[in-house]
Order: sequence, then structure tokens, then C-alpha cells
Amino acid sequence: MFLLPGPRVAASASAAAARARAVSAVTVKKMALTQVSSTKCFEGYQKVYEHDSYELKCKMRFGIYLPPKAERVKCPVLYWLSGLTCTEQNFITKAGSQQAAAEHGIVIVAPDTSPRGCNIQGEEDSWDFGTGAGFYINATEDPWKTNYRMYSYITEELPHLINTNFLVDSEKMSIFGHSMGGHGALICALKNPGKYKSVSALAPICNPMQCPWGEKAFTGYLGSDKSKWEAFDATCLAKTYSGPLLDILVDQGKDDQFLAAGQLLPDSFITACTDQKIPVVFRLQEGYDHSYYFIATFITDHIKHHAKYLNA
Amino acid sequence: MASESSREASGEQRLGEGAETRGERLLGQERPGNGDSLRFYCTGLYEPGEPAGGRSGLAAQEEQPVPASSWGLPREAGSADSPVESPSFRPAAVFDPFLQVVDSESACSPCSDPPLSPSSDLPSRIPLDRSHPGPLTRDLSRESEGDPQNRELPEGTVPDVFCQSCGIPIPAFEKLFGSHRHHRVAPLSLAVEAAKMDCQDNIRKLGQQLVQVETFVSHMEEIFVTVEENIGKQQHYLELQYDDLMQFLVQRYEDRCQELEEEKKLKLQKLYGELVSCGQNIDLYKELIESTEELFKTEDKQTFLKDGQTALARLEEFLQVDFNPELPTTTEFEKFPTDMPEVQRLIDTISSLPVPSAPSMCPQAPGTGSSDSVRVSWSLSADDTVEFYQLHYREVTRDTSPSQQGAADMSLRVKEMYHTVRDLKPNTVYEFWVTASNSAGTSPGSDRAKHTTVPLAPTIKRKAVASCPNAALIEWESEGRNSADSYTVEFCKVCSSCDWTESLTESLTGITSCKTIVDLEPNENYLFYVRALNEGGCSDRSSPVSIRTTGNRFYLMEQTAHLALSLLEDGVTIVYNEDNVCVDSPNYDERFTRNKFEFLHNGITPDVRITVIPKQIGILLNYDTGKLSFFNVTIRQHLFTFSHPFQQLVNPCFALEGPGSLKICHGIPTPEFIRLP
Repeated sequence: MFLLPGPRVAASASAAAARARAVSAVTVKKMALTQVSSTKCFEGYQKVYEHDSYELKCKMRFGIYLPPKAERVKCPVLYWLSGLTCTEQNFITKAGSQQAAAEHGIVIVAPDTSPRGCNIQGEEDSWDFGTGAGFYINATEDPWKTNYRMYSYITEELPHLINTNFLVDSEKMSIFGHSMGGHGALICALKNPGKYKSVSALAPICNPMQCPWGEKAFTGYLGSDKSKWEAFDATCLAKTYSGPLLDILVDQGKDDQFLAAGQLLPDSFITACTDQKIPVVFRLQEGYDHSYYFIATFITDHIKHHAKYLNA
Repeated sequence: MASESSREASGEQRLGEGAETRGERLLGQERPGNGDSLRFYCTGLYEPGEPAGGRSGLAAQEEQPVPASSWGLPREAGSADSPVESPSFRPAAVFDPFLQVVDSESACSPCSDPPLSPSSDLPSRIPLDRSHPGPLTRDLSRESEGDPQNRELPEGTVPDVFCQSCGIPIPAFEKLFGSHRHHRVAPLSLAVEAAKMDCQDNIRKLGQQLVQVETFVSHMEEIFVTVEENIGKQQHYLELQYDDLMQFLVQRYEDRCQELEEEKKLKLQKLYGELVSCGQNIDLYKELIESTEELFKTEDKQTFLKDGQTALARLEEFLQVDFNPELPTTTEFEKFPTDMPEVQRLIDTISSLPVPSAPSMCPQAPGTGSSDSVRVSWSLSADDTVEFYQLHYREVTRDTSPSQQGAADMSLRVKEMYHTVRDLKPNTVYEFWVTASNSAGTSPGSDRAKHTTVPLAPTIKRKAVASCPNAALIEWESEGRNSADSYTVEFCKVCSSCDWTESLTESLTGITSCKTIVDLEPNENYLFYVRALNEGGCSDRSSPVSIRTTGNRFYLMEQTAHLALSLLEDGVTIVYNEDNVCVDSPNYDERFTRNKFEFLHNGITPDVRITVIPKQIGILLNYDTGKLSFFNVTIRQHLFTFSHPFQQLVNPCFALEGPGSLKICHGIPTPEFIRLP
């Protein structure tokens, strides 16, 4: 366990008060981080923690893999965002990421895909909306807007949690994901220039505004004003991106049924990136589908891609 | 002073030891009496007129009782045990107390550690004042005074210091209070050591002299042998010459005898013939006379007259024959000339110099040749007198055997026994032979020796040089028509900070082809040279080529370029000129969309889209793991990696499909962002 002592209290009174609040907040968070499981894997540890999320207003779990190197040095962190219907378990059990993570000395954090147990009406109705389908956005529509703030959770609460509770290099962060998580990774990176050292995606939803999944989810979470959707669409964000150079790796199975169904739409993203001169290497992999077998095949390439930037 | 005291201490220590060993030694032998022990300070030393040689001999003799192992001198017959008694000194009874203090063992033992030989370094001397006489040399001025009292100790005193001025041991108080108070004094042990040093010096000098004499003797022996040989040679030569003369004369004698013999036979034959004919005539006459006389006896006058007339006729006939016997031959015989000129000539040649014998050519010495000259030398037998030599040579091929003796191309007159022949062709074999001449004539030609000139320096093909961080491939071509036997590659590291001065030069020898691979250290700057070698030696260094082991360097092979492409001077830029557009090159435009790049292998390419067209493509080959990767160097983006085990050589090949140019940047160190995928 790598729990750190809390921040020290300084002299100034107002500052002290502010810090007191911060301390209490931290203390609150600290008290909520409980280890659910810990398993040794490739000489490191695959752990699962549970905590109370203030963004999502519910208990949330995440998986975290700590490589053997993390015992000695502060390692960089790679965030994985899973796709529709996944929990924090799918990735850590199926993707086979631990070996590459151990080899390159990278901590991999794999959160859940949406808030759970919020008792919102309709959250269980479909597999591609509501529970397990948070779409990594901050909802603005009722009854979702209270809990469905996955974007803030991923970009703010979770990193803060990880940085304070684990001995990690808080300056070195990258993000990747699959399908809906790929979409999430892309928008997090494009909306936060310089925050992430690298980004990659496996079979991402590149242009949700134009695909059935995205239309359904964004209508529900963000309302019908499509101008509000652009802020969470990777293709739109790419068209207006300006920031440090990103190096994006995208793998897409050629036999992916969702690609054929027009849910993923990588071409528009590639075009946008070409116009905006965002470097992308998009690989269409012959014979591969949308499953975790596909993820497992190429996860090592992706971790190496991130390692190049995180370990630089 | 600390060293002195330590010596003194050790000396005293040795005194104790010495006493024991000496005691052991003398077991079973007559215990020497008062005067029989050997000491440095016996009265014998102080007898005037004793020769210095005797003294050093004494010193040499005194050394003998010491254990054999500690001395390097050749030992005399006396064994270690027997103390040699020199008859030349008689120790006085008054020195008995000495026996306990200084005895021969202890006197000798301080020197027992270093082995003494004429060539060994002497142990460091006791720092006594050498301007004063040593312990063994005595103060002659004092001696000549003839004052015996100074030399004798008073009864019962124990001497414990040594007076250098008088050369005797004295008790210490004598120095302070007695007659020796103005004399220089030294501790006994130190004096002993100094005395030993002197003895050793003398011994060493003797040894050197011995060596010199021996050397001289051996020289004399050599000269003896040489003289014997030389005179023997002269004798032999003389014998040969006179033998020739003798044979000639004998031959002439026999010839003459033969001729005389024949002449005799001839004359005798003629004479005999005459004799025989005369005899016949006589018989005839006699018969005639008889028959005529018988005729007179016939009674019948008619018969008589008839026969008589016949007889008369016959007689007259005979008388008319002119009998004029002559000697058919003379009694003289011809005189043959004695061939004096020939004999004279022979005799003349005996007294003059012999014609020199053929010299012998020395084989080619390594390192004496250059690309246009060789140094030939020859030797002569010791007793030949030579006025000048005639050196001949001709060009031959390597396979020419010595028996094919062709005529010389060139001849030179040379006074010395060596000559450097110039203006020769490089990497060529020449045959040399020499004759020696003097007033008597010219020797026959020597055996022919082949000398080879060194090849010209090769030139390194700059455009064929390739390097990687660990090695370099060098290729060169050799000048001249023949290829050399082998090549040597020399290289050295150059540090730019020290003004390009060369440090250690390494060489690789015995390279038979015109290229080689050399292992080097990464990130260094090297200078390479090549030399050519043949049996004549090695050529000059070629012009250097600078090689940096940073990144990989290679040059495009111009001869492999397509006709439409041209290679620039730098060896790394290909240009496809508008004018040279080939008609039959397929139009590739529709194959490439804006995003699609092809990574082709085995006829297929993965479907890869790239959004930012690379301006610089980095190519990384990891041969061992079988990976070939491409990068967009500008944005450090990895584009694609082929994974395929390589079994054979991998050659990079570059092409242009449309007008433009492609430049290969080489010598780049591996960038940081290359993570081997």
C-alpha cells in the first residue's frame, strides 16, 4: 500500500482554513479508498479499489495495476477506458495488459464505465445507454446530470485520487480505451491539450454525433441541441484542436461488425486529423473483430506506444 | 644517522650469530691458537712493504671461510671449513682479546647477504669519509715513522673503536684521552664493513681483468685460426697453379718424346733399307766376281771368249751403274722450340693475383625496398682482392626460375659491396647478379638473386566505405598492374580535442582481398590507411579516410542506379530529373490516396492510414530481432514495423517514382525516441 500522509498545514489563517477543508476532503477521500482485491501478477500487483466519488455521487471501483518497478520509483500512469457494458473487471481479466505494463514500468488504471446503483429511472433499460454506457461526458439533462459526470471523474477526480494515494509520477499521464472508451480517451486528450502525453484507441467511436450510439446517448445526456454535442465529439474536437503535438495510434479490426454498422466512423476522424495535421497512425487489422481478443492482440503495441512518451 | 645505528645494531646481532657458527665450524679441528684466527686487524697487515696485490689476495683468501651460498666468487680448492692460513702474516699475541670481539665469521657476515660477483652492484657503502684511508689501507706517513707502540694495544684493553688515522683498533678511551685523541675514529663494525667493501672492490677489479684477459685470449685464438685458414688458402691456390704448370710441361715433354721417337724410327728405317740394298749389291758383285773368276778357269777359248764377253758386258753394265751411296738421312734431328712463351705465361700467372671468385648475392632484406628502388648487396670471400664490381639486372616475372639466365637489361659499375638501384617499376621482380673484377681478370657471375620492388600505395574507395557504430567496411583498389600479395589496414582513433594527433595505431595484416570489415568503438573518429605488401616489403600508406562511428553510413552504388536516376557527388542523393522521365513507368497516382501509405512485403501491405505526410522517414533495422521499422522523424512518430526473421543479407534500396530528389542522411546517432517495437 502506498498511502501518503496528508498535506501539511501552513501559517496563514485563510490559507489554513482552505487547507483545512482540503485536508478534510482528502481525509474523506482517503477514508473511502478501500482495497477490494490484490493479486500478484507479473511480479506486480493487480488491485481493485472502491471509493466514494464526489463527482458521481456513488461508490465507484477501479482496477489499478502496479508494476514491480513501482515499489522503487514513481511510475507514470496510463488510464484505460472500457467500452459499452464493461465494468472495471473486463479489462483487467481479459486484456492481458499486465505483462507489458510490468515490462515498461507503467501503472494502468481502469475505472468503471458509468456510475452504478444510482437508482435513476431507465438506467438499466438498454445496454448502450445508462448503466455501463456513461460515454465519458458530463450530462446536462435530467435525471442524468447529477450522477453521469464521467468526463469530470476521469479527467479530474480519478487522477487526483491516484496521485494522492499512490506513489506515482503525477506529471506523466496518458489515456487509451476501447470503443466507447476509445471515444472517451480521444475527447479527454483533445479537450485537455498537454494533460496527456499520448493517446491511443482500439476500435473507437470516432464521430458519435453521426452514429446511432452517439445520437442515442447524446440526446439522452446532453439534450437535442447538437451544438452542445460537438464538445464531446472527437472528430469535431480534432477539427478545432490546437495544442501540443499528439501522436495518436488507432487500431481497428476490419471484421468488426460495428465498423460495418457505421457506429465507429474512423474515416471522418482521419480526415479531420489530416486537415488539422494531427499525427495519426490508423491500422486496419485484417480479420479482427470488436472483442477483447482483438484488444489482447494489440494491447502490447499500445502500451509500447505510450511507454515511448511516458518513459521518455 | 639512524641507518648507521641500525647497521651497528645488526652488526652486533650478527656478531652473536657469527660466534656460534664459527664455533660449530671449528669443532673437530684444531682450535686455532692465539694467532691462528683470521681477522682484518692482524699484525700481518701492518707490515711495511707488503704488496697491494698480496693484500687483496689476502682479502680474497679471507673471504673463503664464509658459507659458499653467500658468495659468487669462484672458489679455490680450500673447502668452506678450513680456515686458510696465509703464511704471509703472523698475528701477534697481543691481539688475543680481539678474538672475542671480532672474529672472521662476524667480520665476513655483514657482507654475506648480497651475493658478490664482479658485475653485481655493491651494497651501499658506509658513509665514512672516503678522503681518509679505509681500514685496510694504512696511514703510510705514520707507518714510516716506524712507531711500533702505536700499533699495539696495552695489555688487557678491549678495543671497541677503530682509528682511521692509525689503522688500528683502539679502546674508546684512547680516543678521548690517549694518543689517538686527534685521530678520526669509527665504530669497529663500521670499520669492518668498510674494510670488506675495499676487499670486494679489489676482487671485482680482479674479476674484470680476468674477463678481459679471457676475451683477449679468445680473440687471439680466432686470429690464429683465421691466419691458418688464409695461408692455407694461399698454399692451396699456389699448389693448383703449379700443378697446372707441371702438367703442361709434362705434357710437352711427352709430346716431344713421342716426336723424337718417331723421327728415330723413320731414319733407322731408311738406313736399314739402304743397308739391305747395299748388301744385295755386295752379294751381286761377289757373285759376278766369282763367276768371272770361274770363267777364267775354262779351258775352252771359244767358250771363254763368248762367256767372257757376256761377263764383260755385265761387268761394264754394273760399272756403269753409278754407285753413289748416299746417306738417306741426316744424323741430325730437328730442333723443336721449347714453347717458351707458353711456359713464360704460365709462370707469370703464378706470381700475380688470382682472379676473384664469384661473389654471392645476399637475399633481399625486408624493408630495404621501395616502390621504385631496391638495395642489393653481396659478399665476397675474404682473400679476394677486388677493384670494382659489375652489377647486372633484368626484369623478370615471378615465375622465372634461376636457371633461365637471360641477358641483363642494365649493368652498373659499382665500387662498394652494395648498391641502391633506382628507377625501377613498382611491384616488379628483378633479377640481380654481380661479377667482381681486378687486374687479373673478372670473376664468373654470381648466383642470381631476385628482388622485388614494393607496390604503390593503394587508394581507398571513398564511396565504398560503410560504417556502423561498431564496425566499418573498407574497400580499396591497388595501383599498378599486378595485385599485391596482401594488404595491411592501419587505423587510429583521432580525438578532435587534441588537434588530430594520432594515438595508438592498430593494424590488421594479411588481408588478401581488397575489402575488409574492422571492429571499432562507437562514437569515435578514426583515420584509416591501407598499405600493400609483397615479398619486397610494404608500400607507403594510402591517403587517409576519415570514418566516424556515429550512426550508420553507407553510400549508394552508382552502378546500380536506374538510367533515369542520377547520383549526386555526395553519394547519397538520388535525383530523378524531369527530362529523364521513363515512358514505361506506371502511373502510381491512383494507388495512393491522401492518407494511404504502403508497407509492402510479399506482395501485400497492411492497411495503414497516416494523417501527417512525413518529410523525413527514419529507417531502423534490427537484424538480430528481425524488425524493420519506419518512423516519421520530425514528429517522432512510429509508422510501421515489419517483423520478419532475416536469414540473409539485407540491402537497403531506394527508389523515386516521380521527378524529385531523395537524400539519405547517414551517420545519425540512434535517436532517443526509438523504442524497439
